[in-house]
Amino acid sequence: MREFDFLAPKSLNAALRAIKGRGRNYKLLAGGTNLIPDLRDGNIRPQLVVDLGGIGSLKYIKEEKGTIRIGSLVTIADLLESTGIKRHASVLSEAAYKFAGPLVRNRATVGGNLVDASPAADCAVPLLALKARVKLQSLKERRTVGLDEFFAGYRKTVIKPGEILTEVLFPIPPPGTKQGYYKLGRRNAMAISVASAAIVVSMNGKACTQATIALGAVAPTPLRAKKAEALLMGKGIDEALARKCGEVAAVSAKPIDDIRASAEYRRLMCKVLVRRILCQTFGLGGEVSNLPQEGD
Amino acid sequence: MKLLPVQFTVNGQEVRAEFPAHRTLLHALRELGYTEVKNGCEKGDCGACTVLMDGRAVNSCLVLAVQARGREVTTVRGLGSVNNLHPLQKNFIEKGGIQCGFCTPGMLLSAKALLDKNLSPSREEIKAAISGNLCRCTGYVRIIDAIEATAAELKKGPTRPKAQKAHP
Repeated sequence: MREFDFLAPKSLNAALRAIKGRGRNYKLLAGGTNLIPDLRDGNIRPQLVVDLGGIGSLKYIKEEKGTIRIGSLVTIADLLESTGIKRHASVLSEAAYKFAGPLVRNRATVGGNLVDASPAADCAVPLLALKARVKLQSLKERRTVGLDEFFAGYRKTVIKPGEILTEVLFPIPPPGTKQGYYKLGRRNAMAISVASAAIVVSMNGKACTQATIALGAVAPTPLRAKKAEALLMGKGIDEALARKCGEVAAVSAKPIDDIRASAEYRRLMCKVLVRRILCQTFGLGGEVSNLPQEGD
Repeated sequence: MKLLPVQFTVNGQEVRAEFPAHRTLLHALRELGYTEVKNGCEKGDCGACTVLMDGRAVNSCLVLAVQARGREVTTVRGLGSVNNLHPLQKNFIEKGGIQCGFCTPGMLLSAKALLDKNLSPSREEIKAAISGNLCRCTGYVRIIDAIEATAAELKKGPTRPKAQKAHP
């Protein structure tokens, strides 16, 4: 590993001062589960590494006026152990459970996972489905950005030099909201998603009043399948609609071939996962077969 | 090369040393003589370098030594010794959970982190707890057996079995 200067500020302000005027020639260290291997392999060669681990004020999970606020340094293990998250945002708990393995979950942070901006980022997909926003802070400015506008391209975000992601927040879904998540990996633990999907659907009686569908690892960024969401609005969810919804969601995908799967397989899995999650969360019959069905 | 002071405890003993910022905890510990911490993949995939940091199992290859300042680090040597085996160590031996031994220090510490929280884990919970630790010899079944047996033992009584005495 190449040498770098190292600072471990104890407050957010001290961290913001440390990176001010540094351009992009620094890296923020949170959990380190991506950064340290990248430093070791020489993929990145920053002059300065700023360890945020000592900033206690960024480690919290709060429920406040119908909103859940998660400090960016909360670990994936913290998420998994949070009863509030489990109760209000089961998609996020499920994603935390599928996140790498316990050793990595004890270090990796929510903020780090989002900033890393992998299309397969396990926190991004459920948080997109929960309509999360992120708070970005620099010495001059504070702004809040919707997660669907946060990812700017493959491993790119809208974060500017000098900014730190401080918080992730999302509205608590109304009571009775159905949530479902599915991560398809090559194996259960320590896998990077081949494809993943999270769905959050609120109903008023039999009519869908809110629907969000997020997909991971099927495009340069995690994304919302907004046309598929629109399809559900105002309707009752049955097997035929779940199937149609999967087909429309697959059109939003822009998958690539890589070592984990082909683009064709990924697109097919968008269909299957969206249909499967809807059928499972609404107790419909269609999930019986996990295999692609005729017409897929 | 700029050296930074690092102070932490390893297996209850205070350590004061100096390391460059880019030294990982894995290499720092090995330089300090804790060679029971194994160097496998160095990217958090294999778990051979597992240590407990403030009671939580982590990959020491994914932590910088300077990030361990003020922390309590436990390596497998902190678990037990040849003459005073931890029940996990005893059961790994008795059940055949060890072959080449390279994954064993990490495997034992992940198991310890599990049993510290849960003395009645299901086999699925055990598998999940060691899912970040790769073993290429045993096929895992005997490791899981050993952890299960230890949980049952520890649940029965809090006392650690003493060295065997002569028959009464």
